[in-house]
Amino acid sequence: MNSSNTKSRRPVPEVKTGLFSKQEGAEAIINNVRHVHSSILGLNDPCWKATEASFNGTILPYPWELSSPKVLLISQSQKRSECIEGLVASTQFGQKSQNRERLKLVTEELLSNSFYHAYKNQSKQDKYERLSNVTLAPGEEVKLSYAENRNGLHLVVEDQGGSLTFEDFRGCFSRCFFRTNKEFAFDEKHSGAGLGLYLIYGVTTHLSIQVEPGKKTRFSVWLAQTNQFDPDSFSFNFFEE
Amino acid sequence: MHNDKFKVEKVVVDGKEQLRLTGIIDEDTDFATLEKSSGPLYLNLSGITGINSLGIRGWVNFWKTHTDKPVFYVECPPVIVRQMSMIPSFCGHGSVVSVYAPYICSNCEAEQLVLVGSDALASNPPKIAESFLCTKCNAGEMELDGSPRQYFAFKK
Repeated sequence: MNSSNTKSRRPVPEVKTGLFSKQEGAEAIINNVRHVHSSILGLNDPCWKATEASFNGTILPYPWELSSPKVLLISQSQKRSECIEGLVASTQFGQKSQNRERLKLVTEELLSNSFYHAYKNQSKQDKYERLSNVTLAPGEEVKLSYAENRNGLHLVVEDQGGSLTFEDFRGCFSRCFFRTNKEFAFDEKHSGAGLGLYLIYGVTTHLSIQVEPGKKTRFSVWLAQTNQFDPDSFSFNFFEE
Repeated sequence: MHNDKFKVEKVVVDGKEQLRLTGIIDEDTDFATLEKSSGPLYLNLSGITGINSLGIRGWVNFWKTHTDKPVFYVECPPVIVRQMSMIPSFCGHGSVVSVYAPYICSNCEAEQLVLVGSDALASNPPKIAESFLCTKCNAGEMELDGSPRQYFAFKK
């Protein structure tokens, strides 16, 4: 179901709400939809309510966003693994192997994305070369914060580059998303080919991206405990200020 | 470049030669060892502990250019099964022989991997035990950790 009759002061971006699969959600994103909410509660879903409020200029935290997180600042790419292992070991969430595997994957992909793709040079190319040991310049540190409760873990990764656009994100999905009669396509020119973003979307229950162009990109994700994980209940939101 | 995160060794299981892969598949993984074997390739993936997006890219691209011999994936751990379910071309032209399914105890949260063989995988959804008694606490039921539909999505 597509909702389009919301009263608002700002133009309402296209949204997809209802009950559908992750693949259908990905298809919607490829078709330019920035707000995807699948829930049995439909328009009464509290996550959707928070998104809807943002169209009226009210910023509400999502119900899954936890307060009082632990915060880490990372500036060296080679410290990534150490940081991820430390994070996983310090959480209850990471005690279960299925959770541990998803948490490692999401953190690794988000951090490597921040190190290698968030910062651009004057020619708009990646400032730091992939496959090299990188030390970010002062002020470019990547901020990682996390908090958990018995239902899951909330993770935020924030860079100071703000270079991700919805078109980039959509492009990643177009390359990665499988259609029945087409082959899975990789972009040979780009490391990872955006596959990391697709994997993050695949293993998280909620994914919200906020971009302040040239200033900041904030990935906020909710990883549900496996026993709370409902493949039909998820959301994706992309906000560009 | 030497890579101690990933290893390949030959093992013989039930009289059949397998290549056992262990460690992490990432940007440093060199799949050249897999090229050297002749005949059908039985890849035992039970020792794979992690894979990132660059590793997936390398893996898929490797199989795209090596379609000359039959490939069979044996004892695939959850970390690999998850990729198979998310990325349809992850298996290339290979066939899945067996996978591990993760079970967890409803009482003590003990974890156990249960091998799902080719007979059980032949049906869709695979015929797996819904639950069984936890041998650790002898009180709780072991159940699949996560959604079966999600976990076995590669069977589509």
